[in-house]
Amino acid sequence: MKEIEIIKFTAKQLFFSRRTVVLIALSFFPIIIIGAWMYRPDDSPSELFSGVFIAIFLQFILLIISLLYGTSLINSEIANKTISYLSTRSLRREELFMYRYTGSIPVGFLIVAAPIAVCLALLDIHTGSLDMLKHLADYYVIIFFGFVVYNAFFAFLGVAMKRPLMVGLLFAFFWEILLANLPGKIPYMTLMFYLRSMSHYMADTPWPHQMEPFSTAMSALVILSATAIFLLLGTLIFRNKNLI
Amino acid sequence: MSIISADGLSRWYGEVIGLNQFTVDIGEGITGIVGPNGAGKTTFIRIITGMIRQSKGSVEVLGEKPWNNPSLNAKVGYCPEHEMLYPWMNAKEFLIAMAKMHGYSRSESEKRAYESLETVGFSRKDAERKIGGYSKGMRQKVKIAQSILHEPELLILDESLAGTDPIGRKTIIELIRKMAKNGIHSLVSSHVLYEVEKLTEQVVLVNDGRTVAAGDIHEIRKLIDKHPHTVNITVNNARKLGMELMKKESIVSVSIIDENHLSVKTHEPEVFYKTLPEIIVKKKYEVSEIFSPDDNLQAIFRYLVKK
Repeated sequence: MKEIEIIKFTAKQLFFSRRTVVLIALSFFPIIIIGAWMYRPDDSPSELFSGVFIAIFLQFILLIISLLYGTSLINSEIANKTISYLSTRSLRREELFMYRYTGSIPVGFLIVAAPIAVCLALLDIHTGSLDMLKHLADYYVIIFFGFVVYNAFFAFLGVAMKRPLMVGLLFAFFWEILLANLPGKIPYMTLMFYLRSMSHYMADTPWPHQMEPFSTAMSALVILSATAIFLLLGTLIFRNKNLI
Repeated sequence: MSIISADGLSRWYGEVIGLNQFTVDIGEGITGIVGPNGAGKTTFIRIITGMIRQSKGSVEVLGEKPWNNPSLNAKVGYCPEHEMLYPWMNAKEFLIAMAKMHGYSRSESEKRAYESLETVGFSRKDAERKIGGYSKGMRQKVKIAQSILHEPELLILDESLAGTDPIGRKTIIELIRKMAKNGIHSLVSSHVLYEVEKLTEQVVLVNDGRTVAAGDIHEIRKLIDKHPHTVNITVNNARKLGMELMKKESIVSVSIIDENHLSVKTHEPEVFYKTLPEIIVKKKYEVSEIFSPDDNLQAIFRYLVKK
């Protein structure tokens, strides 16, 4: 009961925060691109959406949402002093961290899920087929894995650092985007490499690297392993953290 | 029986000392922890609520270590000093959520939320409004309500009387007394000794991170009363008021600073504060400020420490 309450409380808290309005507006931006394309269709619908999905949804919106939500899970509670209400309830700190993290995933996912469905539906309306919407579940799986791993990383960053936003931004846009697009073996060290591998096999999105993508199962395994490490580190730090 | 015991408790914030070899044994009933701002009260409370860890020493609350201890959290209610709450919720939602986080069912949480709101004198109508629009006094009540909804054995109130209106203060004092009658122990921190005196006879005086004195307030009061209490008054006719005050037995000395300002020293502040309004009203003085540099307790503590 208390576990579910923390998850629900966190989800509501994130959803009703002011930043959510901005994030929802941001996540609907790709619809404008799709709408503009409908007037001057240069590429095929699948080529267009693949580009939009990778460049905007995966490499920008997902990262921004994860960064803002993940880092705020514990950090904002400490900064706002409201952590005293949560940390003095009948549950261990480890549980509090884990349930707060769990509550953050559906909110981010829901913000992105709606515009993805709208984009695909618009493309299918334009072409008069269901070719795009049949991949909806695949895109959702990739996005879901993205939130699982990035929220874990940023939640860890939020308990490890007093001001995690700057480091988080550097990680998101330097490490995860710039390094992930470099030639050679460096992209193996980024989480985006594995998400793009999944995306390539599941939704047939373009593959930019010379080396072969990892299989979907292998990529999922790497992502889940990384998630477990971030959560373990986050839990260990939060367990010993002074809440001031 | 010892409710809270601390032995050689120290806590550093970098190079700043929050608590310094703090040793105390707090018994049953209501205990006041009194000290000026920065004395170490909040640091002590943060340690006993498991918010922070001590750098040195040991501490036990209801016989258990407070750090990351959910079973102890179920027995302790904590009302923090700050006013922060969740502005996007209403009081009812907040309290239900807090009760559920203690493991109560939805219906039980709802029942407890309404009961605790009623206990602190909060109307159901106000409980449906968003917390963001609450006054300071209303927030204080909600904070107290969240600390009592799980019927704790020990209630810890950090500066909970500060900033409340006289009615709110009376409600809180009555609540603490009522809880004490029901066997719930309370630790109430304040920087105003008079506030705590209304609540309890057991006090711990803290200054510079150390226990200055602990025990019966009357014994401590005797020490304090030997120290003359200074009151500065801004009035339309300082000389005339000064002459009048000099006739009172409770006054030690009166210094006329200028036409509108005077400084009074008294051995009996309570008698003085009772007499002064009577004189002001009777003789129609226009008083614009009454200020005591000793009220922040710093002076009293300096005095006690010197002794």
